[in-house]
Amino acid sequence: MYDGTKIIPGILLFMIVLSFPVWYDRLNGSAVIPDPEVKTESKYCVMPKEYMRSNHMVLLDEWRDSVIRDGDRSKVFAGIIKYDKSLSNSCMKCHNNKKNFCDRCHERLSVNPTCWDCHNLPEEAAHAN
Amino acid sequence: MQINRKEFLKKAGIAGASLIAGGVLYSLFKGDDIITAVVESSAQTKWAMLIDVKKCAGKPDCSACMTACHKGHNVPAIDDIRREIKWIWKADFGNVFPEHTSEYMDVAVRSQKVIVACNQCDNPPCVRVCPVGATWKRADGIVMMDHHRCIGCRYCMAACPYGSRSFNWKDPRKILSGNDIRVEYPVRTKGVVEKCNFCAERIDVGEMPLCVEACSEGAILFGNVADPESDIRRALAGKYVLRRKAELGTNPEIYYLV
Amino acid sequence: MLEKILTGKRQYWLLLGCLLVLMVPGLFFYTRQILDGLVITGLSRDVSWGLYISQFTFLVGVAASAVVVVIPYYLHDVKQFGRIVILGEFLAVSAVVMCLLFIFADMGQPFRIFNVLLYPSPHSLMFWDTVALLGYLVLNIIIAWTALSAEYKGIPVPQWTKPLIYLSIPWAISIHTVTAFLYAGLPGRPLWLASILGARFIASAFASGPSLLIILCLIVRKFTAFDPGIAALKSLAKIVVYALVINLFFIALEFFTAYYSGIPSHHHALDYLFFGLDGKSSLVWFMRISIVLGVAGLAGLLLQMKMNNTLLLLISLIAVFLSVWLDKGLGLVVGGFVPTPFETVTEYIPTLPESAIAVSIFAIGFMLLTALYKMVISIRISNGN
Repeated sequence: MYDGTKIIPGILLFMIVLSFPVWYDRLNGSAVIPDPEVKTESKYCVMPKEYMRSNHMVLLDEWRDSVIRDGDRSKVFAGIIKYDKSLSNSCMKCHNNKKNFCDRCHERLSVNPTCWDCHNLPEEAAHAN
Repeated sequence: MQINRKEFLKKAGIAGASLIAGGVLYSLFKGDDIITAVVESSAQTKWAMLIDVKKCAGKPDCSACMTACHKGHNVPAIDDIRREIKWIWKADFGNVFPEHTSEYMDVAVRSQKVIVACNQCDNPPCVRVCPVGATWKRADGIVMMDHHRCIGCRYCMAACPYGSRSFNWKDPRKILSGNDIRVEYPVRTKGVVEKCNFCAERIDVGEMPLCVEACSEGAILFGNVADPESDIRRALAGKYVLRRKAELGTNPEIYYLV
Repeated sequence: MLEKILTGKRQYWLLLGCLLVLMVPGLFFYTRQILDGLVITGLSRDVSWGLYISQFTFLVGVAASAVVVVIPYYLHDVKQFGRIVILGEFLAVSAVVMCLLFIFADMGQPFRIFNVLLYPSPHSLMFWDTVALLGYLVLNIIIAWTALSAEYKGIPVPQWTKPLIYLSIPWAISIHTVTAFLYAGLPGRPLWLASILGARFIASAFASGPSLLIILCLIVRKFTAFDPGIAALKSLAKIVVYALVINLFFIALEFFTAYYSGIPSHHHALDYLFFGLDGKSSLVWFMRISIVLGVAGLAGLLLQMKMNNTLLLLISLIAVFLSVWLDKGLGLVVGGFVPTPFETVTEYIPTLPESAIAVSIFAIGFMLLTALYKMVISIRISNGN
């Protein structure tokens, strides 16, 4: 290999810069797992908490495709409750505080889902009535 | 193995290109979207609408159907005719059916208002042209829009011979005020096309479209034309009805009783 | 070879600098378009395509016309085109890049562009146009690059490019045919719903594209030490004459069918474009000037064959280019939306922001073109012409 003495330290430096957020948080002790506020009267969610934590976006995509593309508006059973496959009309009926529920993790992970460009928040429901 | 820069770039390029091509081919042959887009359904159900022009024109100031639809679907009211968004609206008979208008027709008749919306064509040109399958025909004949997928190329607007499609030139939330928004139904984002969806969200749970329900004159008859016993089939059987630009072969599913 | 782009005389950097300056306002307005949406354009519910899509359509023609140099050189062994064939191919590359940028600028949801690949839809001509354009871009880059690097090293062009060159010929025709099909297959838009549209696109492309190529070669000849050969340019001008005559003939055919049949839907759009309809006539003078420039350009080209005057050649070619640009880059797309499906007329006037964005895309395209031409010319000069 040519210029190995330059390339290998270069790669190492690059890796260090790349992993900046990880070691910076570790060193500062700010690597805290966000704690979304689950404030709901219902005891039943459509899926276990652990599944929802990592896969809610997959579930929402599946719901979206089955409702919009396949026209399948059948209900989803959770314990003794039937839910519509709907973000605004099911999920956010229970988890009605976007700021303390959705945004806590999303902001921490710096993801910007576009759901609420179109789908409405329950706050607006209160506003409308 | 010695590998020089050019060789590396060449191989990486070939690998990248074949990966993309492979992906495209895979999704082509996986092809569920393609099938829904072109295959005719041997439908048990085909939704259609019969509009009684006389009944409707009897109440020229009525706008119940339009209000119900636009409110129910969070369609923003925009004054500028260049930017407006509409799912169902009124136009002059002479503009809707120019081929059925003669110069001796009374101005009053020619300018009587006719309700128009997406015709839910049986052979929809908009579906044919959409490059991403964001608009497609369901088995029950409804021409749907997937606003999640639309890329905003507006090819469907050029293809629609009826001017039934609207584009969100800007974010509709800038026009709709909080009080106007019906929370249960989403609004749209800027840069996507929208149109009447025959109230698919209501039909699927056994309800009538909003416009049909809102019309106090009973001027809109909605039903399943695949069922020979349905009211709409009986109504269509013996009457002279018009369809907009039927000669284009799009087979509109909105019929007009004049 | 790329290193040739990075060194140059003052005027080379001056040209690039000017293009960069032209680019800036458009970039600013494009960020506004991203934030506010296509509301910054003059487009409307009734005229839903405008400047962006018409520039795209026009530039596909320019790209396709590279074949006008490729066919004589590779199929008929016309040696004199040897010096301009790579210039033609690089013009095609720049034109396709501009086409893709115009499509991108026109999208309401540009960040979803990969949906075109994720959900390929063979029933849509837009899908085929994407495939055709990307394929044509890759073909031309490979062909021109390989030929140039062979020239650079002073070795013969490798044989494996031959099949690619032969493939590029029908491919060039196909990109413009498919672009015509975007329009010609739509019911309810009578101006576009004409089987001659594909043929007209090719004819007007073969008039405008080579015109631009000759103009560019004349500039190269004037300002650099490389001479593409005036004889080759004059031969190319003959092809322009044929294509232009055919294009004008096709326009006449459209007029005949529309007005002799008297079918309102067939002549309404032409009424609007050339005479005004319902008192709306913003495009009338542009369209008439287009015809006048076309005829004048033709006369000039025929005259210069006798007179052998390079200045007359240049002016005539500019006239031809502008004529086709007004017709295809302005009237064709907008005219298709008139009258609306409700027999009314909505006019379209591009806004300042969208015009600035269009200028910006042209600036990017010409920057790329300048850099590519610089590379070719530097290599040729250092190889002793």
